[in-house]
Amino acid sequence: MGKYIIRRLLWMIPVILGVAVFIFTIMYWVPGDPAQLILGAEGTPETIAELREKMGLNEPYGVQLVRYLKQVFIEFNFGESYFTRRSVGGELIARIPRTVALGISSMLLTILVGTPLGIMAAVYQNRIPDRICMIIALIGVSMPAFWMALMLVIVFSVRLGILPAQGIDGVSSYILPILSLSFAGWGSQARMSRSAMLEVIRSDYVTTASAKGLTQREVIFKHALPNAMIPIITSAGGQLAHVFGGSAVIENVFSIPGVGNYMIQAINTRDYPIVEGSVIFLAIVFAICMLLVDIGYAFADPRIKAQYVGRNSKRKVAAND
Amino acid sequence: MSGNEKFLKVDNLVVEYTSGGEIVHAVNGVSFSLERGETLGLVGETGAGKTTIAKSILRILPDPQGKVRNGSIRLDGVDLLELSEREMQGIRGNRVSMVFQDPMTSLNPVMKVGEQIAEVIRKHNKKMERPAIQKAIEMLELVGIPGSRAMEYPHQFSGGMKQRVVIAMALACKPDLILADEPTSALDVTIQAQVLEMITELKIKQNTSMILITHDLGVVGNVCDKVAVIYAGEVLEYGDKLEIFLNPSHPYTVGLFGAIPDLSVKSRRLTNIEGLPPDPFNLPVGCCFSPRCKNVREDCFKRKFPLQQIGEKHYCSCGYAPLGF
Amino acid sequence: MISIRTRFRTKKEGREKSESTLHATFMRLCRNPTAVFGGIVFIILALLVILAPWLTPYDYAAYDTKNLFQPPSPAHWCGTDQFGRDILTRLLYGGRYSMSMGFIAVGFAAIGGVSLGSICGYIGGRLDDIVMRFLDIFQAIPGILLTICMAAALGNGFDKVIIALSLTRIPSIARLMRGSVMKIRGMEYLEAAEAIGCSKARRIIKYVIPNSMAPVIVEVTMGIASTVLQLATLSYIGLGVQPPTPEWGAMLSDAKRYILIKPYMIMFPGIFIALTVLSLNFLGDGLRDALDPKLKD
Repeated sequence: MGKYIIRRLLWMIPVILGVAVFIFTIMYWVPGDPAQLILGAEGTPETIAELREKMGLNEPYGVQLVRYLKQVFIEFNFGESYFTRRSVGGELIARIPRTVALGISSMLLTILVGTPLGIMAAVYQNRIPDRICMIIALIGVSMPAFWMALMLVIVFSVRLGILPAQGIDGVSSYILPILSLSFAGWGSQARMSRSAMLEVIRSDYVTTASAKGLTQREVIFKHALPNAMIPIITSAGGQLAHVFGGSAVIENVFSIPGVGNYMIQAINTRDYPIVEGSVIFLAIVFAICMLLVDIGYAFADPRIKAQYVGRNSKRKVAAND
Repeated sequence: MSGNEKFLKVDNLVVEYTSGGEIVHAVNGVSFSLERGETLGLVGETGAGKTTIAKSILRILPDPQGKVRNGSIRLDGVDLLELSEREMQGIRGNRVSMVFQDPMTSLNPVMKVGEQIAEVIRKHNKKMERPAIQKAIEMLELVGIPGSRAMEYPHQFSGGMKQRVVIAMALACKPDLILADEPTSALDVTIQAQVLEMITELKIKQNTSMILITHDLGVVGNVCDKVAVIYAGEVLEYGDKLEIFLNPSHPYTVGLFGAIPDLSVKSRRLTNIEGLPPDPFNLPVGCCFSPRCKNVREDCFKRKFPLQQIGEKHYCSCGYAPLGF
Repeated sequence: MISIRTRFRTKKEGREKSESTLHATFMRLCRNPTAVFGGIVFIILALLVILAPWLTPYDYAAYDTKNLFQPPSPAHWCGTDQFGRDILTRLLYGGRYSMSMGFIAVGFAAIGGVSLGSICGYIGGRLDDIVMRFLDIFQAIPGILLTICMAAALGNGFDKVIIALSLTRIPSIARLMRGSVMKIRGMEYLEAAEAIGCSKARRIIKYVIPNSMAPVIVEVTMGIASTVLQLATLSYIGLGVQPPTPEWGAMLSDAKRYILIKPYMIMFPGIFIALTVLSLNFLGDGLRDALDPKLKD
């Protein structure tokens, strides 16, 4: 098992490197001169040229790229913001806990709401609970998360005044953000759980379990669910992408000082080191979370665990029994 | 009534499936009976309704698509169709158990095999002198699997061994009746023989009755005492195995036997039965076999013939068979 | 039980083979109430935005300083905005941008993704490995973030936004197509076709591609829905379409300033977005069920 984890971590490295190259490259090709942006109105052609020289902006693309990669991956230095001169890396580390808190809580809420909804829809297939669940699910997926956030703010902050609309003053200010971020995922989680459960319910081993005299509850909880968990966990992993991506916009709506908001504000001010650093950082965190999901997967399905563990398991006894 | 009562008596069973608003007539008035310790072979083509009959006995038809519309299934005099779900749960796996066709998919992939056997033991035995898992290990040994493998998962076994696990599970509570749905169809021929032999041995040891569903007449010949030939959800011919094998009467049965290659005869064209089984959404009026029957008469298309006794333990539903062709 | 039923069904279908599968799929789709509902709503929305000039008397860009911030009324069904412009008119015209950009972006992504996926799936080997690594890199950045980055890099303008949107969508379509092609490639009927002398090109065109398309069709339908959402998000942040273009997301971006005093300005664009996406999702769901009926019951 350990071997598998190490193999996965090693494989992550080229991907993250690739992400770094990618983001550096597209930021490189954005029109506009960073030196000019930094100096702003005070810049004269001479000072701009001087700054360009100092920042190494006159060197060819390849050289700049390698310099950046060395800086990030060997010195662990994400550079400084063009405007505030503050260390990007330091800011990222200070902000990431909020993003992770927002993201993980939303994902948990999505799983806790979506999975039972989908399972119920499957058990009562094609009857009323199924149809209602699926319609609610689809509605959730269809509205922009930030719009949902705005509507929630209208109801709970403006009209009712019970929840804050901005900032991170205590636990209550996380409620609306988590709700709006999570809501979009209820639909797809419910739908995945439903189809996973349906497929499992129709399998032969579930019929076998009924034929043994087990009650319907026992059949569902001891035989159907454990098998349905496998695709459900996969789907939960899929939620991660949504959650990490969507959190940026939600942070923006609620003015939460997280990594995503940092990046969005930097895009508007063209503060490229921040944008590059945020993307790489988020990609790393995202990849680690996916790895954790995959490991969880292995615990749910002994067949997969066998593949990871490798030689020691008696995988296929020869056909002559 | 007791004493002379049959162990299992199925009377005029009618089962329908509803699929997207249309009705499939899967079983149309099937009757047969079984004594203790007897083996009945249900023979027929794919889709004839054999599995449906077995599932109706255990009442594990998919709900809501499958429904028993008529008939009775009496086990020792008690009509299983009248029992509550709770009472049926007490019977499943306990007095009546089933062995399914495809061993690759009939075991729960994420549960250890020993645990799956122990589960059925625990379910039906409130007080146990020792842990169910020990009894499960004994059952595994009984079917020829080392007890040390009880903590392994199904994917670690081959097809034949998986089927033995399924059999061990079915026999764990010493049932009075086993329903075996083509238990060896998914296995290699050599393994088939072993598994069948094992089932028969265990059956004799525990004096269990068995309904063996198969499309293989060779298996019927080896293992069964009685035979019921099923076609389009009806029993066409029924009775003692020897009588039917020596004296097949219904044109369908004759066709089935004619299609078996016989090594002892020098050379003979295999006969086949023209046509296809009827569309279950749209069964023929009259005798269900009439569209394909070589000896069909005018009124075969118009009326159905009930099972008639044509020998000491031999019933046939062809009105013209006893007259000879 | 399922085994009996599918056996029955295949016999029935065997007799219906003369009916084209396209026709059969369409009939199944029509029997699905939610899919039909989605289809109708979508067609209505499409008609509304196409016929916008003939439907409203207002000009979407004209200021009307006498009628600022009007709440919904018979004269202005959705009210007016901070410049007195009729919101419903802006919504209808805006729909042209939102919906057409969604379609075009996904159209490009579909062409690119299907080609890429088919080639990788069919040829496999080194090429497949390399391309998949590339796609891995793309997919290592969570979806909307990727779109945001690319939109930021490419700059403003309809064509640039469309490129950003379609590039983000290509990896998932390509992967799906590739998986589909790989599955079909292993099927025995291809070997059978080869055995009767079918040429490689003919095999690909006649067997591989049509049989692999089903999941892709569903993904494309859902993709349009998702792209419309992404476009709205982009505009909301300020990266998509620029004012005074009345794109739905841009209207929401405008309206957020007035959230405390004029909530209706936020409600209506969102409702339109939600209806469009919802109807497409219903359709996509229905397509998924219609293309593979075994999954339904």
